[in-house]
Amino acid sequence: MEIHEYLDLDPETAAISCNRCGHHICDADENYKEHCAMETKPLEEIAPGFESPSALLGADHDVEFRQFYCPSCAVLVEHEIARAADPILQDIEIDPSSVS
Amino acid sequence: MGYLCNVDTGGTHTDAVVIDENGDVTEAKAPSTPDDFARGFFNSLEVAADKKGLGLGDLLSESELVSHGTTVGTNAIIEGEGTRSALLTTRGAEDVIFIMRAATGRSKGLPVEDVLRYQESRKPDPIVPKERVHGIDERVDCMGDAVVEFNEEQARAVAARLAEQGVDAVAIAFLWSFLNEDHERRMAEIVEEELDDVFVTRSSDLIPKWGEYERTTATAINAYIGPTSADYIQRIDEQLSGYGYDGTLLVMQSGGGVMSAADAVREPIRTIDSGPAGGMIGCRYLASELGHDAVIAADMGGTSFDIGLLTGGEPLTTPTNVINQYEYMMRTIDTESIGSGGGSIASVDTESGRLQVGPRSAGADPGPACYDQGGTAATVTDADLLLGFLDPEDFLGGRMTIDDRPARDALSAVADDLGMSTVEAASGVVEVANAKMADMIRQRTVNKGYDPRQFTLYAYGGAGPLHVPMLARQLDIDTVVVPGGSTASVWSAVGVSSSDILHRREVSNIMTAPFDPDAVTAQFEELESAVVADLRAEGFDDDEVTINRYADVRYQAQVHQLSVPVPAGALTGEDMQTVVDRFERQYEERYGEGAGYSESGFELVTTRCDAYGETTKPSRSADQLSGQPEPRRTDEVYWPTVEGYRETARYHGDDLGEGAVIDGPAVITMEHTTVAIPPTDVCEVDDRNNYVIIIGGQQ
Amino acid sequence: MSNETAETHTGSDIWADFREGYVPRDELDIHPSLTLHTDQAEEIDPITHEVLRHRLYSINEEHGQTLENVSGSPVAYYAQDFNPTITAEDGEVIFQGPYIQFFSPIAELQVKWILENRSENPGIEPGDVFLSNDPWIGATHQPDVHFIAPVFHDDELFCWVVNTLHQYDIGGINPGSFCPGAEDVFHESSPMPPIKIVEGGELREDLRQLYLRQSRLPQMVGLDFNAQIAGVNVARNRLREVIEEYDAATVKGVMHQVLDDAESKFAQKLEKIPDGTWRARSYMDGAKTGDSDIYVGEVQLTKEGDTLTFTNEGTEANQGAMNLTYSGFRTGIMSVVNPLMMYDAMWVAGGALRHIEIETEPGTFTHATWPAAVSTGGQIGIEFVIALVNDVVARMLASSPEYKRDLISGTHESSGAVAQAGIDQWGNEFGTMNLDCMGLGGVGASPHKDGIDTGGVYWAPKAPIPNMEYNEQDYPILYLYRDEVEDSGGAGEYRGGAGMHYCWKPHKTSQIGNVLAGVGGAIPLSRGISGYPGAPIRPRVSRDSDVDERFARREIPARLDDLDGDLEILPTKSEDVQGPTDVWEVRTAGSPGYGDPLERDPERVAEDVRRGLVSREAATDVYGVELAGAGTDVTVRELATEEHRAELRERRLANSVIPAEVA
Repeated sequence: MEIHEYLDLDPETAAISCNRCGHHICDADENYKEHCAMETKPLEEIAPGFESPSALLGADHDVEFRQFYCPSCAVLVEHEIARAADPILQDIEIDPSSVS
Repeated sequence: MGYLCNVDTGGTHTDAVVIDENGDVTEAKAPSTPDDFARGFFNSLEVAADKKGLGLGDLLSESELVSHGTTVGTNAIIEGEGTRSALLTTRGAEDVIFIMRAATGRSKGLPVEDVLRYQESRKPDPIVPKERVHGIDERVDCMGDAVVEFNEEQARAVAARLAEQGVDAVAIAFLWSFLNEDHERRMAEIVEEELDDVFVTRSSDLIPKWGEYERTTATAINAYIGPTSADYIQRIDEQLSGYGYDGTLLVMQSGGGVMSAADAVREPIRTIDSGPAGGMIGCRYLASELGHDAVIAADMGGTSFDIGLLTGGEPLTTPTNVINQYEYMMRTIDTESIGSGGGSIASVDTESGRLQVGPRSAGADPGPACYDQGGTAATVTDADLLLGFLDPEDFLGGRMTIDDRPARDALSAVADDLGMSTVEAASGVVEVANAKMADMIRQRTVNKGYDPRQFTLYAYGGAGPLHVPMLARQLDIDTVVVPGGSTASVWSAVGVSSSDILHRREVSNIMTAPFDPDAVTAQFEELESAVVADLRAEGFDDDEVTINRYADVRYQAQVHQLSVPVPAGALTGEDMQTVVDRFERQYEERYGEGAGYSESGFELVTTRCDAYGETTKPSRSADQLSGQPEPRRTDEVYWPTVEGYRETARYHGDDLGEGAVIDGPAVITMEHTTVAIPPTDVCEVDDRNNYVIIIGGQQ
Repeated sequence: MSNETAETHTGSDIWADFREGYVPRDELDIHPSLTLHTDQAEEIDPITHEVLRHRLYSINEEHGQTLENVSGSPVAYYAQDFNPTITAEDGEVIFQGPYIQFFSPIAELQVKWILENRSENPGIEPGDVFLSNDPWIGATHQPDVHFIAPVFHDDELFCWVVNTLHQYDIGGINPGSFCPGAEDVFHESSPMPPIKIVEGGELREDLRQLYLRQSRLPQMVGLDFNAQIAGVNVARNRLREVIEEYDAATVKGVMHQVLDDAESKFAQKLEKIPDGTWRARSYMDGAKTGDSDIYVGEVQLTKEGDTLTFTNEGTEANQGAMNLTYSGFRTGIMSVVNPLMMYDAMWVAGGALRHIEIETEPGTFTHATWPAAVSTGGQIGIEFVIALVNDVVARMLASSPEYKRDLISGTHESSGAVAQAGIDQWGNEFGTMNLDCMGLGGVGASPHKDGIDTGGVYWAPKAPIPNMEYNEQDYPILYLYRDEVEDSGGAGEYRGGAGMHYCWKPHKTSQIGNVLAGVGGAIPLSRGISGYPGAPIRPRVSRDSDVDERFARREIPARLDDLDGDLEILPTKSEDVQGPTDVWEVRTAGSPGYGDPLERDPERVAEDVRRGLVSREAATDVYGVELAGAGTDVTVRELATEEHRAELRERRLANSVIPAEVA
């Protein structure tokens, strides 16, 4: 069943997969982002219209932009903004038994 | 006196009304012809002529006045069929018309249910696409000073670009141009030099008032609909001459008067939403005949229920109007609408099991289930039919049959979901619809600082005379008037025929108290000389002209402005004090005691001059009777007001006349509408054929 | 509801409430001298239900119109910064108006606290009105002042009517009462717990004076005071009329049906959503003026069956001037849940709150303990919380094929308001909140549609920004431009709504003092489902610029960057004096997109470029669309687009690592 625009969760196998190409990403209790292809960029490279926060936070800031793609078809699954030392946030954790 | 003809073009129908010198009213309907509205215009007149045993040429050559309420402008906006127009703004203000003052762009004019539903919400399509909006290097400030002088070279380059883009209409709206119109004038000159045959509107000419979004929108809309409307009006004008009409075609304005075809061609924006204004002017005329000071005018049609107020016998106006979620600056007779009409759909919410009536509507197509045109939703009209109010054999003058079987099917489905009988469900649908209309009336009057119990209700439109008498008691209102009997269903058209010609000019120039009486007088005199010149050119003598002066005033620290009457002639310091005193009193009446921040001082924002040229008014009369009329038959009708069946006399409008007295419960079937006289109420027909219903009059 | 005996009645722990924020227990401790009206008709026919429901909603609307009419203040009008509410006798919120949404879910807290702690002393009687702005009881911050009035029927407390209206100035070290430099609450306006401002219909003049004495503009506050009293009186009178017309048990029955209906709609939705936990994290940029550190804040949403639990684990301690109290957090939740999940129940907050638990940690900056500085709560703290709550609620809805369509990826939460003061062009002192800040990126994208460009915020559904001419008349400013900003709407298959620039200089005055209180400047505070964030708020100033020379040359610069001056980006918590050639520009934030931009219909991208909302650079680099032509004439090169998009996908993988494999 679809649990996100690009992710399916199979309640039987308790597995999360990319719903664009079917690639198996991880088990339901894991952090799907850890099993995606992650690209890291500085904030000013997010897109035109974004600037470096150095002017405001100082040059020694360590805030970065992380994008998570399906390792197979490269669809952009998610992104997050974090300091370099911050763990990858598990923003989706679904109980497979509640998925029909 | 010749005939007074009026044609009112609607989305589905075009109504013609012809009033002769005896006050006899002939109504006619023809389908509207959207591919060329002019055809429907003449078709409806032909039907009217035919009813009088005349040819169209005979009718028109013997007509004193032909007036027209048109939706061509409205349709052009809503259907996006305007012209290849451009908008020129001060550089930096190009996006004013896209930003639309933010949240209001997506919510203005919509019912609250829609406002709260973001998932379907959007701003409307642009009036002018971005590529045809250009900024000009010029800038005036709040004192009228040029902070950036008009950049001729850059302006000419832009005009050349417009020529390249094949533009045929240009709107010019610069910041603060109402204080200093030099730059807009210069721009207009350049545009006319660079482009052939172009329709130009400048905001400093059309509506020189404070507030750039609403002013720019008005200017842009006028240009957008300009060429199409001009075309249409000119065609009608020419054909009228061809048929032998030698008067001026008069076109209804939303602001509360008619204007000549020439003016309508130049400023077609004034025609948008002129329909409701027509009805209100009719009410004004009726109120003066009947001596009513405070009136709630209620127009219930197929889709919507519109109300307006008259106080001191005059309709309230509002400085702006809304179309397609755009708010634009043009003084309009103030009406408010909710989606509660004959076609409003009654349904039961699948999740909560609750009954909803409207705002969704079955419209005219497919229409109520009983129209048997494929509609299966239960509507208010279907409920009216099942309760026994409508006569299936005599609907719309017999030209349409309605079938109670699909109505019954639709309503019994609703009844099953609610766990009640079909007739209880039908009654409930009418009760809910009436309650919503009563709530709206209550909110509207109370919020303007009025007590509805002191008002008379006028009821018109196709469904108004049926529903409004039933809801009057909920508001503690004791008199309902159905104007002109059958003509209540085409009241808007009758209203237009009783409109004077209106020339209105307003200009903003913010002054702080104490106001200099000479400066204010000068401003009024400038406006007055312009409008008086216009009226003289149209052939009016001075004794046929009435001029009213107004000032829009506010407290400096507060946002609300009120229009206050201003004395005529050369103003004195005392007159200025009178204006301030009137403002303070009106503000207190409107907003409550202590609501005004007097210590912050006063600002006079806008001066306005309304000049009326008197036109021939229709007289209406009632048939003479030889005795009290007899009902055609008696029916069992279920009255929601008493939640039960009552033996109800059914009359026909043709049988009634001056002096008829009818006790409720009774129903009067007429050609285009039905009048309800609830139990304990009494209806009397006066000498102008107005049906006056006294609530509780039988006791 | 527990009516203790007089001896055992203690109310809540008032001083704990004042410190940590009042959290009502399930059973309220109300003094036995007060009887609540609880009798409700069980059988009410559907017609009466609908007629009464509409009437009650209409009464609440009338209350709102009274506030708008009688106040007349620019803040009330342009920001629609007020809201009327009707609650049940026990405080459950039933009806709220379509104005700023923060106030109504909070009304419950004020009512409950008054029931517990004012029922004995001074007591709650017919004709009373209470006034309160204490953020530790119920307020997003001190300027949001609540007027709370009980409605009695036959000696029983039938229900409450409440209104809230934002006061421009109610004290504190900065004019405008937003104090981004405050050390603690003692630098700010004093919180007032509920005081009885009207006693049995008689105004307490001494308390009114005390209240107005807090403000730099006591007459403006006095007008709003009148408006708020008028509002509760109107609502109270109308309700009494309705009760007389129908009967108390029927009216109460319909009120409870409305709540129950809203609850059951909400619960039905929860049934079709899986159980799980969703998390969001972002960073507050500076705790106060002059601070360039960042502070992490987090929100978790756990769904178990028909209960949603919100927590804020991992959020840093309260400090500086960036803080929000518990009541602010709570109302932040409903500000999101209402538009995303209650649109079919007319935003009846009480129904959803029956299924919502809040277990936030006191001492954090989104559940701050006294005496933390909280005056910026209504502009900084709550925006921060709404961004995180939107993130988790949207992500939760995304997991339900049935309700996914209802999600909105965000509203521009990265935001800020500028308070301005000085001498105006007419020679008078002036002070204001510049309400252009309400012209925001609007509504974010949904799975089926783009966001709404400069569409305002979803928690203020009708707020109109003032015309430039209004601001230029009342304040000594001249705008250079206000425009929709290219590339500000978050990219995605569906694009987020664009933000707006407002750019001005002082005009016919020597200087203007600006105080900016905002959030999400350095680090975007906006996240879509897959889609890109919207561009953050960006306040900038070009100091000592050549703007006057440009004007003399008959040129109006279209961009701040075109000016020759010292360009500086300002932090979101700033104080600044603006001279006549200092040009300020604030870019309001865009809202997030939805979905992968490489999946956006290329024709829509071309249309965005033609309309100046997406740059060519972004069209190619972010959306992967190759275009022919220029400016307003661009068209899509389909084959080149397909190829470029394939290339971008390859590049994505080439530049990536899989964290689990690298660990």
